[in-house]
Amino acid sequence: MRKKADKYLGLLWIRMRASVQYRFSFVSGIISTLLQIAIQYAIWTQVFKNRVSINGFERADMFTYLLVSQSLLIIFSFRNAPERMISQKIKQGDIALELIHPVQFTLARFFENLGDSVMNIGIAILFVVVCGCVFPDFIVPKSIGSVLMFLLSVCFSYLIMFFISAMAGYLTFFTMNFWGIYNAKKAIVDFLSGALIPIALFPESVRWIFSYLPFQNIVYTPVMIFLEKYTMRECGVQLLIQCIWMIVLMCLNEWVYKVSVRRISVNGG
Amino acid sequence: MSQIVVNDLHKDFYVNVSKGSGVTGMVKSLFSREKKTVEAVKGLDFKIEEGEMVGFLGPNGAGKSTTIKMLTGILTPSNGEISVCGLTPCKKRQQNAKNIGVVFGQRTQLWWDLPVKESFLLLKKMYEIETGTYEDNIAYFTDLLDMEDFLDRPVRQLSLGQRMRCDLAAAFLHNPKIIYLDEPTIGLDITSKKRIRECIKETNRKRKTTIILTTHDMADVEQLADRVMVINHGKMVYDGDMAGLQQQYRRSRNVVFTLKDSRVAFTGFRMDNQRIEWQQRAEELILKVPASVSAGEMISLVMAQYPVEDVRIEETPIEDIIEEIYNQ
Amino acid sequence: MAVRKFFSLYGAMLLKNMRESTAYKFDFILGILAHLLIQASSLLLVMTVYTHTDSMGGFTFEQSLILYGCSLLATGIEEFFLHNVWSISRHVNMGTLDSVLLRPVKPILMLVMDGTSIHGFILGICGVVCLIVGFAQGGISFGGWKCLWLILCSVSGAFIIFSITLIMETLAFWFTDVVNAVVMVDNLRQFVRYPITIYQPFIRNILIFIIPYSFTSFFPAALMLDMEEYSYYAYFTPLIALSMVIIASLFFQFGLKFYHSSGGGQ
Repeated sequence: MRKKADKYLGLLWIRMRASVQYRFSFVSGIISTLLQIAIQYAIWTQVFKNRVSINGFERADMFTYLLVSQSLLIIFSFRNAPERMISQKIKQGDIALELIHPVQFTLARFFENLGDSVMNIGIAILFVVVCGCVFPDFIVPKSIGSVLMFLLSVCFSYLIMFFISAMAGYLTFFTMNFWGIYNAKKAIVDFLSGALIPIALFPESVRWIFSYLPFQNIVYTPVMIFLEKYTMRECGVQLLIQCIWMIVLMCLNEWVYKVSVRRISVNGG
Repeated sequence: MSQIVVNDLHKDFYVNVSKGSGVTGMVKSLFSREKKTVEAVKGLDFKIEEGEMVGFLGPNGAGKSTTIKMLTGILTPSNGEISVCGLTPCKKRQQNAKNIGVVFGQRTQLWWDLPVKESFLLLKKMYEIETGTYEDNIAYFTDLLDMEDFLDRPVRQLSLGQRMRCDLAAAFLHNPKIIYLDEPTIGLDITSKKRIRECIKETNRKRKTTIILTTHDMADVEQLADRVMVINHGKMVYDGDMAGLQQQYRRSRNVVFTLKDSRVAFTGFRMDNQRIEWQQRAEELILKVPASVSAGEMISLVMAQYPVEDVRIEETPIEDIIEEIYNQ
Repeated sequence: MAVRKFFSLYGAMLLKNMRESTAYKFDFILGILAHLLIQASSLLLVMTVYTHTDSMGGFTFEQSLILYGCSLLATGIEEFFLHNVWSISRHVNMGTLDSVLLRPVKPILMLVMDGTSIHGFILGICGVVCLIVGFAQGGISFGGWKCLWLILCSVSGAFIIFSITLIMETLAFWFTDVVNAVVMVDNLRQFVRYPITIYQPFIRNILIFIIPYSFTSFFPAALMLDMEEYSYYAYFTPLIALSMVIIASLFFQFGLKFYHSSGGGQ
């Protein structure tokens, strides 16, 4: 049992080490995020010139929403996308080798991804903390409870995001190339997760679609918790919904994995 | 003037060096990186005439690929001069490209998803090959390399042997004056190797195309190279023909006598006050002749004393010679 | 190489690129869908903003739509014809630039020819649609002069994007992880999808004088919209494009001297 844990942790460590080589990419990542924020900020400032609040969101809310959601995106923009890793392994026929390894495939990929993410997580935390200290407009959650629930929510989000990426990765087996799927997934997720626009700002008629999809739980839910827009009870409900989606996606992921594996075994690798 | 002239050629590379291991190393790498200068080529001089078949030998990291890349214009020398057909390759890259053809053993020059024929057609347009020349060459090489069966298939569906043949034909398509071959027979089966070697020899003979070959396969060298350049640690270690290479580095040879009568027992031998090592098995007698001793003399001496049916001299295998040079 | 022969070669390469990109059919279609989705979500952002306000930086919704259309058009042309410039850093890092350098065609041209992407065509269509809707709904005049300058500015805009990307990609000869820097600079392009009047002067000046993305969308749009203050600048676009292409190409030629190929010695 201990040995197995070591194996997975080893993967994490290797990845983490490797990610240091790409220091330039982190700086660029941060700058890109800042740019995105600058654009959104400029746009919404224009809007709030004439209005005090939109659908319950005030200027400070919007600003905070932007900063936190972008920070989350830093964490969730998996640098070495699981899709690409999986797709590469499939293409190179390595998957046959991997299946022989006494290590669960998805779990291994998860730890690899986590290793990649460590730097990103650090940066995101730093970012949020700095913003909290520097900007007066930035709304900080007032209770420890909110902070804890926020962190929990982010963990769930990470897993949801990972499973979606992993599934996309397995699907690349059918499309032979990861690029299309990766972009499609990115487009869908970016839009539906509330990363660009808070879902509360969409008209009612459209909003119900979002509640039936897992995507809003990736960015929208955690940020709303951060903004303390939910009562305690509502928080609990949202967290539960996240949990459910997490489990659903995990099972779905395993199923897609098994189907792909069978397909590969049939095709001879 | 010679077709290819190289003068005091140097090439330096700057490589990153990572600092240490463990957490401290990781954090250090985050803030700074060290650069180290590696001298890959340290002063090469040589001339190659039109129509020569030259083999570049040397261990990995010796600088042969770097030299070839400078000859083809891919890399710019740090110092020194190169002249290929009167042009400086890195300065007149496109013109130089028209004079040369290149075959990389590891990578294809053709387009992956296109049928071979279409790749050829693209090359025709790119190199502005006249239709007549193009058709002749296609016919000639299709026949010589037996490519009829798979000209319509995309390159990604071909086996390594088939792909190499296509790459070779593609290199010759525009009637280049010089062909550079980098590991052309690596990973191929015997028939493919033979076919490719024959094609290269034929074309060199018929068209006087200069052949420059980089390889680790000694059979390639023996069959395709009149002249051999051995490069090690960025310097030229030997430049001459195969025979000379053997002469210079020969340590010892084996002379194998077949005796008329297997019952005759060899009783040892001394020449020039040296004990000659020997081995007898029935009628076969093997003598190990050191470099300093004349094989001819020794043979006549043996034949004077023993009834000999047949003699053959085994040269030191090339591999051994090369290995010796590499180890220096 | 003679002009006629060049175009003959270019045509053949174009066909080849189409074949290559449609080789993986399902993935290709997905890619297109993804592109459309990304465009749709960006547009939706604009539309959502306008449900809460009437003017953004002095631009009405229809005017913003035209601005958006101009930027899409320039981007579309660049993606269709010139997008392969993005592969330079990859080639330099993996040492696969060799094959390009061995061809009897100038490396830049070779690279550009080798990557025609149909995605650009789709973006261009989206751009045209935005423009049509914008002009029609906004009741803005459109004539021969504007048409000419629209085409001129869009093509110039494409070349400006190309040049900036090329300069960034050339850094790959000296730095290994350049892709991120390229992406970062390209992200600046997002700024000019919206009226640059909404930004602080600091940002605006960068986008006009240092990394002139404004000339790919804002100023041409101002010309289309008869905005007196800014339309004059649009006439400079072709000149800027030309000079940038020259600078970028020279820089690339310079960078080639530092090419390492793969391994660095064998």
